[in-house]
Amino acid sequence: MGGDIVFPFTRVVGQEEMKKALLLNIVDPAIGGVLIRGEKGAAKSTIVRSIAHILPSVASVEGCVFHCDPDHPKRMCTQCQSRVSNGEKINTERYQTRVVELPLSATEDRVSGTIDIEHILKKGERRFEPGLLGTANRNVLYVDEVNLLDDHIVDLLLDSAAMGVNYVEREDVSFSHPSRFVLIGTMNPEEGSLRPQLLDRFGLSVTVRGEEDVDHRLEVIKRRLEFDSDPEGYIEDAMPEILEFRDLVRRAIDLLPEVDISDRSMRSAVAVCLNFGIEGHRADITLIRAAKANAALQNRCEVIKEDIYSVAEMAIAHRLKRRSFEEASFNTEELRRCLTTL
Amino acid sequence: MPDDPLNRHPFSGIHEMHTAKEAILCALVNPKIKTLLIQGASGTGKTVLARSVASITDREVVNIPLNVTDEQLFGSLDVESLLRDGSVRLNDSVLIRADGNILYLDDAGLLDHRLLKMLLGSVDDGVVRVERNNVSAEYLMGTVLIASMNPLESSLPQTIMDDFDVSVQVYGPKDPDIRIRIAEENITYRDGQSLFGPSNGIGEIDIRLDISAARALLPKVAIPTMLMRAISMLARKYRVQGYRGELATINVSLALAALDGRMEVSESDVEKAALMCIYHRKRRPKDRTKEECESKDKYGNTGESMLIDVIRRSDAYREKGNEDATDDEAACFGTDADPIIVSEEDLVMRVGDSFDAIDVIAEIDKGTYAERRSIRSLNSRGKSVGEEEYQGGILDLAVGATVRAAAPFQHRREKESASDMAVIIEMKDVRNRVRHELRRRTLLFVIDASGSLIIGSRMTNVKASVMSMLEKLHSRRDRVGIVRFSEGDTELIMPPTKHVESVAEVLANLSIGDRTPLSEGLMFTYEYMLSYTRKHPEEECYAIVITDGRANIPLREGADPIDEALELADKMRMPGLKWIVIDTGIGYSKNDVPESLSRRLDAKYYTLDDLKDN
Repeated sequence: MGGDIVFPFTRVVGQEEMKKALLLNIVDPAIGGVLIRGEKGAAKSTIVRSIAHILPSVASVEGCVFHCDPDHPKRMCTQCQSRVSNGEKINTERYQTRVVELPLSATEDRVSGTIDIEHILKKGERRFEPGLLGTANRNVLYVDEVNLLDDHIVDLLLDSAAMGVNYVEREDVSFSHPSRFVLIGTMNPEEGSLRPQLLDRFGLSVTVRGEEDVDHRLEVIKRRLEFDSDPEGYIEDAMPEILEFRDLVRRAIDLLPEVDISDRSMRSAVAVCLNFGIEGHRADITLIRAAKANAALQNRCEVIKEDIYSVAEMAIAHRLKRRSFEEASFNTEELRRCLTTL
Repeated sequence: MPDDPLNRHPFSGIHEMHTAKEAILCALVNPKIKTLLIQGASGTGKTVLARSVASITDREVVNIPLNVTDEQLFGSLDVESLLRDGSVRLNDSVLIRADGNILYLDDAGLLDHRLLKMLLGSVDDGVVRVERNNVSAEYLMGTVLIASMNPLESSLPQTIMDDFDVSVQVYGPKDPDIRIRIAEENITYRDGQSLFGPSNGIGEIDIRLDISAARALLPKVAIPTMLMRAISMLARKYRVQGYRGELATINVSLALAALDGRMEVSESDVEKAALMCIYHRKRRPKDRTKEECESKDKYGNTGESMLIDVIRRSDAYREKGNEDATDDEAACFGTDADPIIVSEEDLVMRVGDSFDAIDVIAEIDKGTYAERRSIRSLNSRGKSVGEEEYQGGILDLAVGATVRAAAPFQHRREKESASDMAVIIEMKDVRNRVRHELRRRTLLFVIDASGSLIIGSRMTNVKASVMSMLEKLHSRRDRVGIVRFSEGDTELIMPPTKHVESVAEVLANLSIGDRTPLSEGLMFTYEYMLSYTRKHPEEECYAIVITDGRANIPLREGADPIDEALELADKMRMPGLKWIVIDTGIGYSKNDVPESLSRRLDAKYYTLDDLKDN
């Protein structure tokens, strides 16, 4: 888990919804990421970065820059694939997944990759140099202020997020590589809205609010000050809880394939989405996946109504139809009602 | 200009500006205080103060030029090292030089907001991540950013204000004796008659000692929980978002105590610190205009809560009677002279049903959709659409094209050169990318909110048409703002923002005032847009004036309010701004002023009915 100097996840006060949404995605990356909306300085970035400590390590092809998954040849990069088809022996290593950040100032070339100029000048050979979408493969890709990202960069993200592959067709480069990542975006809605296409692409969304309770605020600040005055010491102190938490996440990941969802539960998930007037299937699928991941985190092998209830808002809120220039709001009362009548 | 004596003005020789000086000392003592904003009118010594910091530290003051680009600020590919030995390296950037030094940004309000946001983020993180072109790099940058701003000339959205740890105000001293002394000292000092100017340098040594003593003491300084709680409550009271305000207040309090040689933070430390750290983050209750905490303009209007506004105006309306509702109007809306009952609800008319509006801007900008929407990018942002020869300036290397350009000469160059590189590139081969980026627009609605609009619910129609235009025009990238003008209340009620949801809310709550200061409304818009267009040269700006033209308050006493407005309009054309006039007059209230106004402003003219797309 490296020497990441980030605030420990286990010491974050409150913000339960956001933490849950992040954990669900770690347990099942196929949920499709999370968009975190909230006011300025509500520690959104701190919390996202904090997951570095609890991210799992995965099996990967030794030496591969994309950390290809040895168990899924179809998701491998072309190089690994040809090695497999040539019958080469593939060694595996453990790869510690991490949070890759995409800064706002990133340019197209560095996001999707470009020709390795150093290589071409020194060796005279054209070689592709992966960009952030390559580095992000099997990792968490974090975009702070995602609503401020340039449109053409957003397009690149959308393509990869949709297909799990980054296709580069530019200049003299024609290349593709796997690019499956958990997309985490944070934004302050005051600074502008997000393109609807990108909004829908996020599996889950949560809205964080500043803590109103003075005692809680005080606790947040005390911990922050303590961390700031000696980050290494603070992390070391929190390490036992971090390791315990890591185990919990690991167990949930291992348990996930065993988690069952009954026909009835599946029906109620779909009914909830329909009740909120959602047409597309993405909400249904995300809701079911998230409910299963939630059960796994509870160390349960079966999805119950509570699982659906506890993740429904995240899966649905950002997909509600809204009138122009109005913020859509999610009615939890209605959710409760809908679930009890089922 | 290393030899300009202003660059070396000694800190101790600076008069007044106590809070600002204290804030700077705090930042030098406590490295957690990273960003400082100094606000004040021009010529009050903001820059001199910032530069004088070099006299009390061993750090250098690194200046950020206003026209700085992403590349110059954060760094990009170093073309020389690339051509020399093929190595991909980051060139020298402003932020690399800032590490361990002090950054100074003059007129922060004029820097591109996006760039400023990224800058503040990097300073706060202490790390710069560069993912540009062919370079992927990360470097540490420990620095203090001191920024100045003249609130009369520019402003920053609240979301950026929130990013400053500390914000202080400086004022020009009122005392003539002090003013004379400052002027004298400045003159002698500039003339270079004294090496150390007003102080002999001893002051600086003392301050340096104070700072290092305070730095040593800082880790031992404690803050009582009671005071921490008070800070939290204060932050809540002023609706400060997030925790940064509280953390900054604590960090400044600790530094103040340390500077005073105390091991415990006192109440007065917290008071001082809160002024520096909480005040600029406060949001007004009911937070309608989220982009700006207090829309205080130079006309002295402070943004009170809308409710108080409405009540105040409704009283004024009752007292002054319905002067505005002239016989014409009465004729139009029934001669029975129904008493117009003005309740608070009436003054905030609802937003009428929106309709399918025409595109008032497309009518102006002929040309294809694509032509209208994208322009050549002057930085390396935007979509790459081709390559061209590198002309110097920003390097946005098109690798393939560059290598292709160099290819025909390789055979000869290999013979002539001692280089062992496989491909030898010379400067003349270098090709830059050509990029296009989407054009951005700012739509400023300038709404006549005078009493005459109360008749026949015209305000309801006005609101409906603004909403309809927005629905038609608005793309996610546009900024939309609202100026309202009526007697004694001409203000920017919504600074241009991309958050249209809050525009809709402000519009819904827009109240009707009294008489019509058309000249003032125009003048306000003109001055605001003059600085706005300067700050956003790449933006297309439109001012959409919505009025019935029944001006009845002049700017200059005794002038004819209508003639004056029209005369002013003649002088208000400016590059980068297009005017549009929408005439709200109907029936007898309709007059030819709006149309004349549109001619003077070189504006497109529409009536409310014209807007409907049939």
